[in-house]
Amino acid sequence: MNNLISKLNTLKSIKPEESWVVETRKRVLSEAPVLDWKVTEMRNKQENRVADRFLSKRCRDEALPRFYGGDVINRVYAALFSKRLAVSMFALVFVVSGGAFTVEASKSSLPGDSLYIVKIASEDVTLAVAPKEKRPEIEIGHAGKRLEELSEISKKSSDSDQSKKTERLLASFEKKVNNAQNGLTEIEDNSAKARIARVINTQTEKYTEVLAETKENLPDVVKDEVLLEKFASVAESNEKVNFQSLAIMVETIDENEEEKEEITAKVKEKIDKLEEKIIINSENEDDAKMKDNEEVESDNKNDNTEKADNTEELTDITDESNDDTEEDSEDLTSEPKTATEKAKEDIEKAKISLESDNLSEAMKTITNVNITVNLKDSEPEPDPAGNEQTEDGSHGDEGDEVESASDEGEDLEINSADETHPEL
Amino acid sequence: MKTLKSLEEKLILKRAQRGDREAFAEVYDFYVVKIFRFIYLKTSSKETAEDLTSEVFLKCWKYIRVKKEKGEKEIVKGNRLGSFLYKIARNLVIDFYKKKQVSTVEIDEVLKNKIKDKKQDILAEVSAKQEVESLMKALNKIKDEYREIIILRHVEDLSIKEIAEITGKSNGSVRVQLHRGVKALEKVMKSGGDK
Repeated sequence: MNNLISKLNTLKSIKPEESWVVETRKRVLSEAPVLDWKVTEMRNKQENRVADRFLSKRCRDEALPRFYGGDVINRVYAALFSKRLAVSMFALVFVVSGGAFTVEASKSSLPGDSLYIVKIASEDVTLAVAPKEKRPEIEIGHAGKRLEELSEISKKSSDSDQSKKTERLLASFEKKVNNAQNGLTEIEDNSAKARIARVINTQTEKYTEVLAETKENLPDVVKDEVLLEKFASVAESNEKVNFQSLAIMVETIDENEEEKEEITAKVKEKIDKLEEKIIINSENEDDAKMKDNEEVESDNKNDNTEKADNTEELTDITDESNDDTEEDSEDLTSEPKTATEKAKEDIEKAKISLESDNLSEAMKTITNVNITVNLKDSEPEPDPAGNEQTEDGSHGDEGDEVESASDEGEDLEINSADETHPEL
Repeated sequence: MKTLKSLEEKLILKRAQRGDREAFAEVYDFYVVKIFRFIYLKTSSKETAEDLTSEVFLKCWKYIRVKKEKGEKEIVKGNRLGSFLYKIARNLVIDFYKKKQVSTVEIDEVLKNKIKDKKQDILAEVSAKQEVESLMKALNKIKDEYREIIILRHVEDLSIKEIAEITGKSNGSVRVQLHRGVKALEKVMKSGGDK
């Protein structure tokens, strides 16, 4: 049967034609619900303040009348009078190469391309003209673009400057993500803050995976220790922002049940991840202790050969050590808890808070744990097994997505009676 | 198979409910190949699979819009978007069969062009194509119920729970049908029914 199942896996190679996928995508998305247009219109209205200053009211009004197909007219209006055009106009002032399509053409450019500077310039302009409440969202979007560029660069093994470009992109990504979080903390309006915190949280979750994938796909030539460390540090910053945005989501939570459920699930996920880290830290500590104990034992063996020649001294030593026993045992009982033990306790507290629906308490507790655990991660740890401890933030598959092989065994038991009744 | 994580799915669905076009695009990008493959394996026709696949997504958007306009909170049950798409696909295939008299359909152009593995040489590629062709012929000879569950489990890598949701059966029933289906398929292949 396993042979048949592995044969069935070959059917996974069946795919539609690329051209059909792309064409259908356009068609299907263009027919996405009217709801979508209303949302786009709202966004355009908010973002078009700059463009509006340059355009007369009459121009806008003439575009508005609706008739059959009026939606198309309105979309054209929004596209023409949108921020994109305003940004392009600004960018053209600064860019020597002419043509209104320069900025549009630069959008797919990568570091090293001649139009890349135009791309960055237009992003900076977008940021500069955006209102304060919009900037964190824009920054996090730009961070995503840096990551896309990083992903593209990592595929080009022939690029001689790949390592430098990768480092620069990582630095730029980290900066954007941190800027987004800093901008978020400055927003005063709670509902805007909540919404943007959610966006940042969602995006940084995705970025965690993309970073891990990009790191994996780096050509071996480029994969040196410095770059890998940089990846780890950027991943940590990203994770930190993810955490902080979640904290803000908890702070600004309203009475909406769905939202609460969602945020609770995220907090639980964080707790689970921290627990995993703590277990790993704990195992490393135990390994380190074992190693120390082995060294102490081997020292003791050497001591014993000397003691055999000095029995009188041994008696004295024994007497002395007996006197010390009480003190020692006191010391043992009052031995301070390790950071890992404290973290384990805090995790349990956080779980209890979560169960009693006290999200903010749970979040506070795990914020402290997060700091402790990540501090431990950054310390050089003795690693007897010689395994590298990486922080990739990746999750395992959810339990209900994976079925074990024992399911098949169970099927055989259920159906043994049916062997005589073929169903064909 | 990588699925959208449950939480990610919920978030995308929420965004789609709000009319976020990017969310729709994400859903499309993630599921288009899977849905196409599922329909193709059930109908063995490239044109049908293409038509029905685009129909699946259009129906999905329409459903979300209608539910949203009605002000309903739970747009998709349990927010399992993937299962929902497969359900739509399944229903469309059923409707398709009702409208047309479809017997054994020749396995067509998709297989002749699409199975590419850059690492294999030409002989191996031909052999791979033949294997897929024979598997599909064998699949077409077993009951539709079995075929569907085998495809969902062993090609699309869905869990028993997800398959139960899509087909409207119980978990136990799905396990039983899966086991019987695999046995039936084995029998067909042994008896040369895949030629």
